Amino acid sequence: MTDIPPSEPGPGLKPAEPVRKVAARAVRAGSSLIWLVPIIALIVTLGVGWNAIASRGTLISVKFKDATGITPGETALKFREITVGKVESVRFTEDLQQVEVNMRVDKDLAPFIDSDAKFWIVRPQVSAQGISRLDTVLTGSFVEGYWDDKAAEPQTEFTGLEKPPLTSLGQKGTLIELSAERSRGMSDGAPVMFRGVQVGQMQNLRLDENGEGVIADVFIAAPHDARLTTNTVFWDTSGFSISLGAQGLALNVGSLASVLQGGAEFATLTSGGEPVENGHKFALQPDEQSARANLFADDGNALRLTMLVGESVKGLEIGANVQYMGLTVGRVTNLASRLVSGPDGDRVEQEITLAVTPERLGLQADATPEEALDFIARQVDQGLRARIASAGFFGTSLEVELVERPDATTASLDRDAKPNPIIPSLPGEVADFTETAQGFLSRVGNLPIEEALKSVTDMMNSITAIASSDDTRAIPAALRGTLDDAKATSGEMRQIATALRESGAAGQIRKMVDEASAAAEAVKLAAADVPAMVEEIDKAAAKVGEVDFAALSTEAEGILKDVRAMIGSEDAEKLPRNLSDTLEAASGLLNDLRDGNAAGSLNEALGSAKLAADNISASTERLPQLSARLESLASRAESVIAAYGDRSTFNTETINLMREMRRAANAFGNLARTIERNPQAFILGR
Amino acid sequence: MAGAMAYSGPMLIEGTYDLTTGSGLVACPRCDALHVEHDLQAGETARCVRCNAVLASPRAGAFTRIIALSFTTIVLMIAAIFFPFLRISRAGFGNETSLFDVALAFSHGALMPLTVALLGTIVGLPVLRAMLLVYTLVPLSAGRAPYSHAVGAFRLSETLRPWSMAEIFVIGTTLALIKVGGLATISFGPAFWAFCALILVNAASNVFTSATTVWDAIEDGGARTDGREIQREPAE
Amino acid sequence: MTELPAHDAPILTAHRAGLIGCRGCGRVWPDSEDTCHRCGAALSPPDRRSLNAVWAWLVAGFIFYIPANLFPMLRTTTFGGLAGNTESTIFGGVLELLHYGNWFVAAVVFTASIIIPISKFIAIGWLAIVAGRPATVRDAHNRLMLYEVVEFIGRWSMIDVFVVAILSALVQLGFVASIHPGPAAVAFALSVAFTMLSAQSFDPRLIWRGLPLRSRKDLTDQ
Repeated sequence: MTDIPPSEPGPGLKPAEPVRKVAARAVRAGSSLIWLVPIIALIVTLGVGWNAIASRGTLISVKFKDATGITPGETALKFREITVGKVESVRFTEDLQQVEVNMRVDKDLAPFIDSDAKFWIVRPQVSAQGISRLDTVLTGSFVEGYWDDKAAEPQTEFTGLEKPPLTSLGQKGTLIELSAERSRGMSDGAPVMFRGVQVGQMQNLRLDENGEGVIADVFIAAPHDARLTTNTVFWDTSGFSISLGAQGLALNVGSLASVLQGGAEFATLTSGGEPVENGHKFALQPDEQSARANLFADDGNALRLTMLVGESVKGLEIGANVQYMGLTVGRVTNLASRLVSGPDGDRVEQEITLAVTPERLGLQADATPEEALDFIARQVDQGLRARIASAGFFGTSLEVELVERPDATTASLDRDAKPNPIIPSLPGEVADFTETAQGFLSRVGNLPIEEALKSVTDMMNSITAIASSDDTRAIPAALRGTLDDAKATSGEMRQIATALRESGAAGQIRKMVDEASAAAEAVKLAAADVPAMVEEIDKAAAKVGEVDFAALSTEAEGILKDVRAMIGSEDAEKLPRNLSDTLEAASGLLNDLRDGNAAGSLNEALGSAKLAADNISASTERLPQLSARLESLASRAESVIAAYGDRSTFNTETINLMREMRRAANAFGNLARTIERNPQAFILGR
Repeated sequence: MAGAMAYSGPMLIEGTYDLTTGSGLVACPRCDALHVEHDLQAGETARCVRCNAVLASPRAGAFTRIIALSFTTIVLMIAAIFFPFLRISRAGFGNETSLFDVALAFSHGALMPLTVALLGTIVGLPVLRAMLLVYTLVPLSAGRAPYSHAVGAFRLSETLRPWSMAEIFVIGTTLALIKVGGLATISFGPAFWAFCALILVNAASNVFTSATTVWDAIEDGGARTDGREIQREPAE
Repeated sequence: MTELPAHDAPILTAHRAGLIGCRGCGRVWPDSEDTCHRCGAALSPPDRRSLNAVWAWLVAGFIFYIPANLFPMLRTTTFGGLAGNTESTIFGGVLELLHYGNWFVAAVVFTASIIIPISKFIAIGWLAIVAGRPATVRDAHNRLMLYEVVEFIGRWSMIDVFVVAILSALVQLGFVASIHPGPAAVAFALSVAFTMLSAQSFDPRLIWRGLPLRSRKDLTDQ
């Protein structure tokens, strides 16, 4: 790598002169001008920076329980689906219980974020209402905010909602409160219907302040909220009902949603209510019938009275009707015992509290309880009394009746009694079906039919003997006496037969038994002595059947022939006329008996009674099967539901429902067993 | 005046040279041709006779201008770092990048050195060069003696010159946007414009820079003297 | 720069005169010096010893160029990997752009990422080989021009790396699409850096070493 050795440059080699060129135009800009460049750059930079900072928007912080899905610097804040801000940072609060999400909101929206603003995180959710917002898996979760367009005092610290609100805020409508003792039929998101169309939703199910009941908020959307008045009643449409009818057992279920989720329906049954405002409280009735029956939605205006009875009030329940002149004017609100010291010592009386609605009494719509009290006092002075009466055909449930008894002993309303004025009462009129029916049947059974017929047969025999013997002519006086007896007896017989026919006993029995089967709609219907009854009826029918009417009538015919032969002779003309009358009456009686077919209709009536009783017993046989089916369904469903996971609303609700079903199944099983064990309980009620 | 003169006195006369010591001569950095060193006027350009490379080109007020432009470079670079650079969005998804995001794209593990290198060439080097130039030229433009490390500073600045790639970055960005432009909506942020301005400033700064002149000035200012500086009026 | 000087008389170079010129500031020193006393740069004579560094850097650059083409430059993930996960090498990217009909961008990418680096390798290699050999003045000028072109282009090859970086930084659209740089990006960047170093190490004064001291008719290409 040696180079050409440096040698002395040749004599002619000299360093060159550089090529020099003067610039065509000397750059002459003053040195001070160049400083404009950095100054401009600085100004522009500061200006852009300042602009960026000033238009940055305000920082608000929202506290959440957890910040799943929130990424600082990326997660957007949206309002009405438009991005209006971004999450900047996520921190813990001082007590480490909550997460504080700091977001920067666009400047022009910041003034509207006042204390009304609500924030929640939108992320995929699986709940009883379904699966929602799966699109946030792709786009990422975001924080959604809602505020109204009224710019109140701006606020920067908020607490976020745990879940998105079920109703979209800003929708027009009314928010009312539904209260009930238990949460059956109520759940977050449960639909509220009007005539079967969903018009609202329940939300925010919670205990009330004293923990004695549950309250749910219901949002009824406009324009349906115009149907709400203070007279509106709500009832629970969830679950299902089982009814026992002439066709047997039937299971009535609403939609599956109503079984699982619950639901309520409302109707405004009476006019005259006032429009409701946000926050009005309604009570949730257990079912439609009690809602319709309980027209007295507002207890506040009721007049409360007390009545004291000394007899058993078994069969009277709280909520039973108070009737006046055939109309329901109130209901029983409380039953209690009270120790009353009287002149003969202490005794226990039943204290029944009635709540009477003044306007149902016939007073004006805005009558106060005091005016109603005056009215009742006046009526008491004229004989208005309260008493317990049977309700329903079987008379097993009781109600309170206000009746007018002008001839009752004078009494007056005790206004000053505590806690409520005491209205004087009469002894109750409780019809006891079993006594009635059984008494009647035993009376029928006690009819001396056999003896009567036996004595007729005997009489015929003796007449034959007399008629065929020579002594007959010789003993006119004795014959006359006997004939008198026979006449009397046949007259009695005739009366009995007429009474039988006229009283329409057979028809009544048949009708009664028909009504018995038709009236069996409510589950409270119980089969009384039905088996026993059937047995007795059977015995009576057997007894009647044993009487051989056919043979009897043949004999009677034979007797008649003999009698006619006897009458046809000239001696018979000499017999007193009443003998032939008697004989005619006897034959007429027998004809009656045969024609009226009393025995036949009695047979029929007893047969249909037996049929009805058979039906009832067959139905009660099916009860255990149904309860077993319910139980197996409940346990199967419960295992399916358990697979859904532990803490979802769906699961909890369904488990509750399954428990209810199981309880219902158990109750049915108990009932079936009770019926079998103690048929008496079926009619009388437990 | 005269021909070869031995190096002895403290000063040389313009136009004279010495072939043994090399004083008064300039060697073309490209083709090694020897030239006589002359004192140039402001606005003149001296070029190599053979390869036409620029030997020296002093400009009036060049130092001041370079200093001003260097400050501009620093300010613009700060803007370019802290302001958003680009925003891409499609179907509601959006992404906004600043310079750091660009460099951090490589920040996963084994690619970390590349991050540093990229950030360095885009941001660090231009700023460093600007500061070095300021350090070197401020006293010179005021006619005072240069700072103590001016020699090393300027040399470092010259060494780093080919490695400062800010303008390449901007062109590369444009190319990338062509690739992506059909897919999504792109919008430029302030940092992008700052960068474009930076490129222009850089180009202007290069026009004004003549290394030889700066060395001369440093030498004249007394930084490193070997007694061979040519007697001349002090530079402005 | 490309036209011959007015006189084609042989030029006196510092090397011939036994002097060394400083490549940084131009001042001339006797060749016994090894440091420029004005600017502090190292003085090196224009001889072939400097070519060692050139070759070393060039080979290093070439070595890194191979994985830069074999490994993927970009990794595109759409829909979290469900819809596609394309990895494209440089050449693959060009083909894809052609496939999509994007002729212009494909040409640009092909030129910048394949033609130019390879040309640079060839150019520097050739320059290193022929440096110092006898040649005509015109050749010398050509070579000098080639050198300057190579030096200028050297920086601009880094554009590819910047494009990858920008794309990776920009297209981070979460689930929908995201782009990540592949290992080829690093290799390519290193390759370009080494090639730049190689070009910088090349002493252009070597080109002029081969010129005759005296003009000889049969050697000059006139």
